[in-house]
Parts: sequence; C-alpha cells; structure tokens
Amino acid sequence: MTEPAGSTGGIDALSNSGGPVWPAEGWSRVPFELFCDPHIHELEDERLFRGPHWSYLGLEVELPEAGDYTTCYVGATPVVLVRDEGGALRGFVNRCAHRGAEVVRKPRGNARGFTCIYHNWSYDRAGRVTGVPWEKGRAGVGGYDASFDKSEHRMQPLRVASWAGVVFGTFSDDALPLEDYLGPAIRERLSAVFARPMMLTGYQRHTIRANWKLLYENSRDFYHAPQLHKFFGAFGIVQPDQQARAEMWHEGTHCLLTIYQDPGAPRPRIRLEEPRVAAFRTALPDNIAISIVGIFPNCLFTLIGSAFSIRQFRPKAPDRFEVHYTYFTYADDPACLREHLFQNNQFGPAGYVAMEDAEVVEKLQARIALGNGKGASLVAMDGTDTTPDRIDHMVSEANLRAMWKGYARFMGFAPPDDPTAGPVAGRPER
Amino acid sequence: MSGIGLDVDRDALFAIEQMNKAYARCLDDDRLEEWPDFFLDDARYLIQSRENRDAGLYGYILYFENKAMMRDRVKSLRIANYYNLHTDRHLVTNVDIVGESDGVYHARANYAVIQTDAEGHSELFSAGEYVDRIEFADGAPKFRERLVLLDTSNIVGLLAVPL
Repeated sequence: MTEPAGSTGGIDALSNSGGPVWPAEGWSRVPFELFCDPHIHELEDERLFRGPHWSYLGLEVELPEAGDYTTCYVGATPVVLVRDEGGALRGFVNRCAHRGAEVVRKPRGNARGFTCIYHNWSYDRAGRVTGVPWEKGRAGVGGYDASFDKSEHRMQPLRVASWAGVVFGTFSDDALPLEDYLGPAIRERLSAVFARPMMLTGYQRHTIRANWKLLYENSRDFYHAPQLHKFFGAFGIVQPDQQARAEMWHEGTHCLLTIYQDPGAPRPRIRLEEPRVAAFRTALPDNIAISIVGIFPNCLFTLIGSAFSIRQFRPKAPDRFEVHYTYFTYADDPACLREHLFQNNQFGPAGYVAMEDAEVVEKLQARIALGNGKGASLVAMDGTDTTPDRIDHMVSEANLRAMWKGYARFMGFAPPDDPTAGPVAGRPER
Repeated sequence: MSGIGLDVDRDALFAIEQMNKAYARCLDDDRLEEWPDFFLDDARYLIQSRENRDAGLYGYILYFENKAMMRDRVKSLRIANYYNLHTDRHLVTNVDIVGESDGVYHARANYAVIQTDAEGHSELFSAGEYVDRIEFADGAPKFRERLVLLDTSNIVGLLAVPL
C-alpha cells in the first residue's frame, strides 16, 4: 500500500472559523456545543456533507435494472440515485432546475425519466433537462428567447462511485478517489462481506431527537456496549473480554470495529428460550463475529452473522436526525434469510441491543444543551493519545478521541494546543 | 351487501372484539407477562411498515414466530433493556372479520397508540392496522398470527413494548 494515511483531500484550505474553543485538556474533552449549536450544524452541511467526503447513497442490489432509482439525503440535501440505460449509476439533487421544486416524488421506483409537476420540465435518468413546455412559445407568441439552451440546465449532479456494490457520492471535486477514501481495512472487509450475491430485505426509518454525532460516536464506543446493553450480559451472549479490534482511517473518522468469535471459550449459557435470535453463525470463512463499520460522515454498517444492515444518517437539526436503515442478507443461501429475520430482532429502533442507544442519546441531548452548550464530555479512558490508527482491546476511548480530532480538522476548527485559537471573526456570539 | 359485512358471523366478531379490548388493556396496564397468552404456541407476531409490505419486502422491525420469542421479549424488557419510561394507550377500532377458511378467521382492526412520558406529555406514537389470523381453541379466540402494519413507518425514539 502506498496510500498516505495523512492524505485527506481538499480540506487543508479551511481556516479555523466558526468552531468552538476546544478545552485546554485537549482531545480527551469534547465541547457540548458541537451537539447543539445551529451555526455548527450549518457548517457541517457545508464542510462535511457538501465537502470533500464521500457519503453513502445506496446499494447496487437496490438498483438492478435500468431506470431503477432510490432517494436519500446527503446531509440536508435530497438526492436521487438512478441506474441509467447504459448501466451507470447517476446521482443528482432532487430539485428542479427551473424553480427548485421537488421532482422525484416517490422514495424509490423505476422510471424512463422524471418530470416536475410544477411546469412539466422533464429530465433524463442523469437529471438533464430533456423537455420544456412552451420552450418556443405557443401560437406564435412568448416562449424562451433564442439564447435559451435547455441542454445547459440540469439538476445538480454528484460524483458517484461504488466499492463492492456499495454506492457513494460527493459534491466535491476535491474528494480523494473512493478507494483511498475508504482505506485498506474497510475495503477488505466490504469486499469479503459482499463477495456473495446479496438480497435486499427491507428498510426502516427512525427519528432520534438528538445530534447525529452522538450516535456516530456511540457506534464505536466499546466502553458502553457491555455497560448499557444488558441484553448481552443477561443472556450471556457477548463477554466483555472477547477479542476485539478497532481500525481507524480518514483522520480517525472512519472506524472498523471487529469482534472475534472465541471458539476456544465455553459456550455462554444462553437463557433465551429462542436462541436463534442471538446465534452468531458467521456466514463467511473467518472468525469474525461482528463488524461495525463507520464510514464518515454518513453511514454505519452492522455486519453480524447473516443480519446485515446499513444506517444512513440524515441530520435534520442540531437536536434531531433520522436514520434510514437498509437491511440485506445473502441471496444464495435460504438459511441466511431465516437467520437474518431472527437476528434482526436485535437491531433497529426496537432491537434488543439497540433500543438503549436511542434512549441514551435523546436523554443526553437534553442535558448537554443546558447552559447553552457550555461544558464538555470526558473521553479519557486509556490515556489521552489521539494518534493510534488501531487499538486491540475494548478498554479504551482512544478511537473516540481520534474521531474528534479528525472531525475538528475537517471542520477547520483550531486544535486545543493552537495558541491562536479563540473566538473568530464571523462566528455569532453565544 | 358484500363489502358491508352484514352477513358476518356475529358470535365470532363479538369474541374477536372482546379479545382486541383485552389485548389493548393488557398492554396499557403493563401486564406484559400475560401478552403471549393471546397467541397460539407457534403463532407469529410481526411488526412491519406498510412501506415494506407494499414493496414486497420483509423489513420486520420485530419478527417472532413462536410464543417463546414473545416470552423472551417480555423477559428482556423486564431484566435487561432500558427504554423510555412511559405509559401506552391503545385505541382499537374498526374491528372486522374479512374472511374465514378452515376455521381460521381473517380479521382486521385499526389502532392508534398514544404514549405519555414520565413528565405527563402525551403524543401519538404509532398509527396503523392489525392484520390478524385467529383460531378458536375451546371457544376462545387466539392469534395464529398478528401482523402490526405500521402507517407510522418512521419510529420516533424507540419501540420497546409490543404494539
């Protein structure tokens, strides 16, 4: 591999602006205002979701035929992902080039093209204008003048690229090539999981009344798992001393969590009457029980046994976001679908090992907003180091610190040890 | 008068209406341990959004295919899970029998669940439909299958207690 771990695309032009003054203790503190400041929320849309990063859009298995499309959000921006007649994937903003109306109205479907209901401007599958009513006038009067060229108009496109059947998009010309953006460990894991044909099994929508970053951080937080999610311990499913690993990439903002099977250990005493809910038969020839893959800024894969899901984060406000789940499993083994249906009871908004996360981050949000976001959370387990790209045990918050350092860099916020850090012109007074 | 249902089996409909009332009261009273007893041993209890149903997808938010899984759910809520402190209020209406074959009644009902939090705020939590297959055992109706078909496909917060 020749990839420079420090390469982050075109973020270096950002100067510190609009950010918090990071506590002097450093990256082991996370200012609460990151989770409740409307100004920071708007900056995130510009610098992360519309910045030089790749956002998850969908899975190729959702779009097998020409004309198949799905809709999603990249940050606040509604986006359509389409397979065109040549088989290529196209992405564009779901906003009419004429007056800005919504064009694609259904969440997903198949179409030869798209037509805005307002003035019937029509578009091809790439979002290019193909038809303008009364373009040349009507009954000899009116119409657009000769300088109007409809081929100059289109819904705003995104760059689209996929890896192992997972489709990403970016608005930025400065984003790294997708392969470099994902990094070797995540590439390898996605390639291994997606090496067999997949079937889509469904969707789920979830609204959480909290800041999106609280759940993104939670997903890599080894510390909370055995403490909060008592389902594990109560039914003897995952032991806290199980071998685990976290591998970071993209300035610490991506995280591949791996929890291994432990074939040498005695089987935990399962006290579920129906053990199939938590039977982690790995569907791959490896000893990995669970992979959780966070790909900054907008997606999380949960890959457990045969119960696969991906969560797309859709921030709506500083204190509200939606999670859009896509569920899938292997298409070539009916046993995988059965296992998937059983195991999926653990995940999603009703899941045995997931419901607490929504409860915790919602209640957390209400408290960190106290005092206009003053204060900071403490992330100091296993030292204050921020530089590791890998940790090999669960008794650490180093992967969280790495994430916050990378987040601050991508947002253009001054680091805590920067002597010039301080209130910056252009930032509203709090 | 097809479609209006004047030729319905009135005794069966009355029994199914009574079961729906008892089911709602059981959940609203937080007598969760009694909830599996509304089902046959190998009954299915499913929660699925209308969005998935219409697309021909599984997408179950909960998928239980026997009574043991329902008992596990209750046990986990009691001993393992943390969830929002609240009370539920089920409003069940439009209970009707839409078909019957080999002693299995196909029934439907509309539901709405209002949740009230620990500080007394009430909100509509979920609206949708029960799509049921019901059998009579010793004169009493039991669910062969209860599909909770969510109109409210976007869950706000979390869903812990059965609908």
